[in-house]
Amino acid sequence: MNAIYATMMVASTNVQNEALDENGYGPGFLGFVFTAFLALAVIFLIRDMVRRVRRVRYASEAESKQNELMLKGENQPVQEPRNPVDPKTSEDS
Amino acid sequence: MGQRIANSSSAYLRQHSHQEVDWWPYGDEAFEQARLRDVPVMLSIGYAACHWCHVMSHESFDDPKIAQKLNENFISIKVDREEHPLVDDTYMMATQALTGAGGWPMTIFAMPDGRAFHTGTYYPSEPRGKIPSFTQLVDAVHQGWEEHREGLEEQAQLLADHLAELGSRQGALLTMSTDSTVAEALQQASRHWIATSKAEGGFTPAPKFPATWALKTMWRTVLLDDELGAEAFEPLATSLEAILLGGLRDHLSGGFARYCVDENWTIPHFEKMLYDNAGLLSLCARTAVFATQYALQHPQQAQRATQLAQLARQAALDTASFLSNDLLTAEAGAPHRAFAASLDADSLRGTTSVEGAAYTFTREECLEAVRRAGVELPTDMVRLAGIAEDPGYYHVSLTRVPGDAETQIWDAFRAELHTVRATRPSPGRDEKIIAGWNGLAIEALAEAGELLDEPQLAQLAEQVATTLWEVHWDAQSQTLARVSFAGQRTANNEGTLEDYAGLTLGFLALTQSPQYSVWQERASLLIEKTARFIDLETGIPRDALALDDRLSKQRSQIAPVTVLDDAIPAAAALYAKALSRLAIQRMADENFDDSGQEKFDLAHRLSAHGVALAGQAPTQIATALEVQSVLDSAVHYVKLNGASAAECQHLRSLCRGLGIEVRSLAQPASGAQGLEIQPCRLALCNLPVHDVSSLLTLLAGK
Repeated sequence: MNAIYATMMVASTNVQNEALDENGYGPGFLGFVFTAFLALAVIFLIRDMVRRVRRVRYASEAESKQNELMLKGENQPVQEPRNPVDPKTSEDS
Repeated sequence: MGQRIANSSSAYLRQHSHQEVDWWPYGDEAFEQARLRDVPVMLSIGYAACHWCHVMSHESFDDPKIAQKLNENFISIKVDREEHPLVDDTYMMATQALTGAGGWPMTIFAMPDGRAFHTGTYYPSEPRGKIPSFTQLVDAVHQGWEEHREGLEEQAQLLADHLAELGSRQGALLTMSTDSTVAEALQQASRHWIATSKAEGGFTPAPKFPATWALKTMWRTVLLDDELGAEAFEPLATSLEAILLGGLRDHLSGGFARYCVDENWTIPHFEKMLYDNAGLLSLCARTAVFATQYALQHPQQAQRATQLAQLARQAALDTASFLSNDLLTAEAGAPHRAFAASLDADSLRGTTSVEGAAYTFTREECLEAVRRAGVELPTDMVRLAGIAEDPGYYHVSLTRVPGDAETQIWDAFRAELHTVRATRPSPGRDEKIIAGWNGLAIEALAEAGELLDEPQLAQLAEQVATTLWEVHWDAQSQTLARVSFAGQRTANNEGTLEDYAGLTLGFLALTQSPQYSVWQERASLLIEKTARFIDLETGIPRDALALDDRLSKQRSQIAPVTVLDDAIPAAAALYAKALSRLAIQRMADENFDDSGQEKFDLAHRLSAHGVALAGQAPTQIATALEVQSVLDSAVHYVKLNGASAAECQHLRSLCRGLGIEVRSLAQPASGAQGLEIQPCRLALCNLPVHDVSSLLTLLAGK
């Protein structure tokens, strides 16, 4: 969960000394209920998409000799997620 | 189509004016249309520099078939999040509540009264796995609207209630209290940062965002905490080196991208935002001073700290150049110059718009640059990181700090690459001027000018501050406009708490101006007007003076207040910081009356959560914690005397970086020789100390 969102949920819950569950619903529940209402396979959470559509974003290359560095080096792809969204924070990706 | 947004002050809206989608700008009229036509609203929220917004726009909104569906069954509203931060914040909260994450483009489906019933971000033009295409989504929502209206209504209300609950918790964060002292909280936060730091720099998983505010606050521990300082230096230096050497930094034109997309900080997301560069300029300037001091205190780490200081100083100067060369609007000599909001990630290569096209190079271009520079690059110093989505193109950064001789080689190489870049089309610039962001940039530039002894930076800051005062401040209504475009305030968009507090901080930072007292008066006026943001019943500030009907419905009338730092420090923390600085400046100017004390007390109250939350979410309360640390400090200002010019500059820089005001000692103690530093707190001044280490000992509370 997004850190800022989580902080807001958890920290102030602590100070108010009340459990989140006592409120009857949280974000997961909302998501569930909502998708159930639309009852269509087309509504899915973006984060699920993100997990499935991970793509190789970039190939980074360490140093080698100058000419090799500039002309002959082999790309060594490093698997990194690149989500099709400009995330709000690190936790949103 | 598009005529409603074609002349908008927002570059983001203008980017969509050619489309067949019948776009409306955000406002009463659009929602009234939805109500009259009995159709749902589709809000598409983004900003001009946002790459994935362009992708979705091209894939889906350019498609005449999708435009037809949207026009038939929806009212489509384009929202520039930078113009309407509260709209963005409200629907972002809804999106995070429903999906657990958020970002841009943000796609919201809402009732005609503004309550969202479905939220998401980017949708592709074709389904991917179980992810719907945007067309499928639009059809599904339309079908839901026709066949399950009651269900959508119920969900919209459930979500609105949930956001109201979150909103009330947001305000409650500000009232948290704790038995911990500020020093203990700073230790707790630093321990957390030490424990969660990564070997490659940063504190969180990829993609990497610079933890600017946490790193600034962490320096206080490194310099002032004997127990944890040395332990904290290692992760702090590692993170700073990743930011300063790696791909986040634009090594050719200066400035920084918004974030990196990989663990190793080699490939940036290429958009360059004013607020990130303001924050990182400030961090770099402070790092240049603090690392120099750390090298003096810790001989065994002197080499690394000195290199870090040099690197940070250069990055600060490069970032200031970037602000001046690439973000300053209008021609030199023209009136009303200020900083534009952002540079796009994408730019043209030939006739195609490509992410990072202005910034990346082929191997041949790199090799040619080496040849033209007539240098031999050290084999292990330069990193070419290949862009998988743009084969054959590489982003250039450093793997390590260049030595003295290597710096010249690197400079020659990057100058040649810069020449190549200069022949390319520039990325689009969003020319709108945002008050709060400019305030933060003014503050960062003025402070960097002071810390690095580069007066021209402070002069540029003052020039921009003058524009903001002349264009954004309306003396008649005594209000600040959030946005201006082409020298004109945009109507009906009063500044938020962030704008008022950010600009106050900018004005307060102009301490070296011959017009210091004028800027003090203007800052005092702004801070006086900012008091209107405080809810009289709760004593808690709100982000905006009023919510429009839609946002009010979405939040069940609970006014939002930004309490936690994000890419920009929390508005409440900026407000506390502005109050704190104004109060302490008044002390130093021997003008600390009851009103000063009230400001001091309010600053304390509005940042107290920084201590209470230090153990749970230190990165999110770093600015509030820094404010608490400044307020709690044994020294609020010093009076200096008898220092040599160099000594005086270092002391002044060190003090300013730590939030201490500096004044000259009018009457040195009789017979005193050499350096005198008289430390003062509130209205009380103590006997002078005679060296920096004694001052640091006082600050450490020993």
